[in-house]
Parts: sequence; C-alpha cells; structure tokens
Amino acid sequence: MHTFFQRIHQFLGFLLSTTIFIIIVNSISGLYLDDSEPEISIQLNKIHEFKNNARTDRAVIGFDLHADFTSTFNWNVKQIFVFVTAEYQPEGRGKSEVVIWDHIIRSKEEAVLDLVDQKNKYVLVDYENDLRGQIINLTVNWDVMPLNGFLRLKKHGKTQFTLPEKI
Amino acid sequence: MKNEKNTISNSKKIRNLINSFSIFGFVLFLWNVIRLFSDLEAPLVVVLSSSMYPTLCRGDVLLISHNDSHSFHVGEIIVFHVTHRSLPVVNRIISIHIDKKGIEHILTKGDQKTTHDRALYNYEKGQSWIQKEDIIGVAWVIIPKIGLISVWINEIPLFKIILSFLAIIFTYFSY
Repeated sequence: MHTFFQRIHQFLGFLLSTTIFIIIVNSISGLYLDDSEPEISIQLNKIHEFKNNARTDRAVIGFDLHADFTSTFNWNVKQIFVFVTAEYQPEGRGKSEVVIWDHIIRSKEEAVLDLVDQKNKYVLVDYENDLRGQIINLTVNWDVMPLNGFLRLKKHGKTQFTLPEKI
Repeated sequence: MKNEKNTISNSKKIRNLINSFSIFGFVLFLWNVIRLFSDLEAPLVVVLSSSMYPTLCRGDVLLISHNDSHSFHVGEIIVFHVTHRSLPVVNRIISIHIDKKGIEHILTKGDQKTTHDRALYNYEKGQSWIQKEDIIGVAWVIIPKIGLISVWINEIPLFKIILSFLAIIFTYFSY
C-alpha cells in the first residue's frame, strides 16, 4: 500500500466496515438496554362535546395524563413518540383504534408529562358513525425511536369511559 | 527489480480481488436473507420526503417487512402506495377501523403535520382510507442518513457524473 489512492481505498474500506459494525452493535445494544416500565396514569377528565356535523358524530374530550419516561432513554434513543389511542369495538365489527393525541419527547429533560384536561388533537370519528353509547378504552402507547436499529411500539395504561347515547 | 515488483503486485491483486468478491458475496447473502424474511422484493426503503420529521429525515433508510396475515396497529410506520403517485409514501398509521366484512380501513399522517393524509389518497374517486393492498410493508429498522447518497445521486445529476468519474479513477489507480 504505497500510492495515495491505495491508501484512500484502504481507509474507506476500513471506514465502511467499522461503520457497519458500530451500527449493528448499537442496534442490538438498544434492544437489551430497554427493559424499563415507565409510570403512566391516564383518566378521562370530561367530555367536552359530542356533536353531529350533518355527516358524522364527533367527540372532543379532555383527559388527564401523568407519565414519566425518563427511564426509557438510553444512548440509542433519538426520541419517544407518545400517543393516546381511543379503542372500541362496535357491534358486528372488529376493533377500531383512533389516535386522538400525540407528542414527541426529544430528551430526558422533557420526559415527564403532567397534563390536566388535555383536549384531543385529532377528532374522534368512527368509520360508520357508530359512536353513540360506545364504551371507549383510552390507552397510552409509545414508540421508542432509536438512533439506529429496531423500532419498538409499546403500550401501557388504560382507562375506560362511555360516550353518551344521545347527542 | 522491475520484474520482481510485478509478480508481487499480481498475487496481491488476485488476493484483493478474491477479498472483494467474498465481501460482496457475504453482503449479497445477507441481503437475500433479509428479502426472504420480509417477503418482499425490495425490503429497503429510503425516506425521500420530510413529512415524518423529526422522526425520520430525508436519506434515512428503513427496513420493511410484509406479512399477509399481519394485523396493523396504530402507531406503526408504514410504506404505502397512493394510486396516482409513482413514489411510495412513508407515514404513520393513526386510525384503523374494521368494517362488517372484516376489511381494515386505515388512515395515516406524517409526524410533521397536524392534518392526516386523506388529501393524498385518490381524491377524485372519493377514497378516504387505504387498505391492506395499498401497503407495501411495516418499518421495523431505522438506519439514519446513509440513504442520502442515493437521494443525491437521483436528484443532482452532476453528483452522479462526479461519482462515476471518481469510481473509475479509484479502480484504475488502486490496482
């Protein structure tokens, strides 16, 4: 290895193989580092509105969410995508899941959520307008986004409420 | 003196060539294992739009998997086709409803926006949801930024020319 180009060739080859190695080690370590169970509690505060806009029934609710995600952060975590889902199962149909609120936590400092009467960002609407009198489960889910490696979706924390029968 | 130098170079050349082939062969093997596992022709996707920022940036590479019996969950990042667009879209599922026939209706949204993707779906035909058939796969691995090279190659023609030129010079001078 004497000429300039041979040296660069050697260097780039080494750079490529070490980068691949680091990415693989990083991804796998991320899997083993995360065995945390953050404290989460969620409950319904109140149903703000349940109206019909001439086509579908739409619900706007407020919920209380207290969560501490500091234990989920490790060297391979870029951010945590937290979202609250409304799950329900109308008669004669399979399960429906609608994300009503989401939030991105970018660092350990922002990892504590303390929300009271948080209104949903995305309106709760059903595909076939089957919301009246429906029993709804609110669950807290989070997606751990690694710097590189495996994406993991988790959920925890549940509360239940029923939507009114009449608008 | 000159003859000696030549023979050493030759055997080294052959060794280097064999090395390159075996590395290439190994990568090809790994690639095909991933293809087999994910049941897809092309399990690698480069993120081209910034609709998923800050979760995914342009140039991030995703490994996706496809399973016919997979039931989708909200929060999964999926790669899907919209009928009148040639490039697949990468976004997150925010809504799933199963109708009386058992068919899943899915709504997606990019992390950067607060409005869902309905405007992207085939609006003229009144398509408000996407179905399983439109979805290419679910992302399960992220590798950041290395896809930027492929983005540059596709979008900046000058880059393609310079890169090919450099590659030719390199191969000539290294052997």
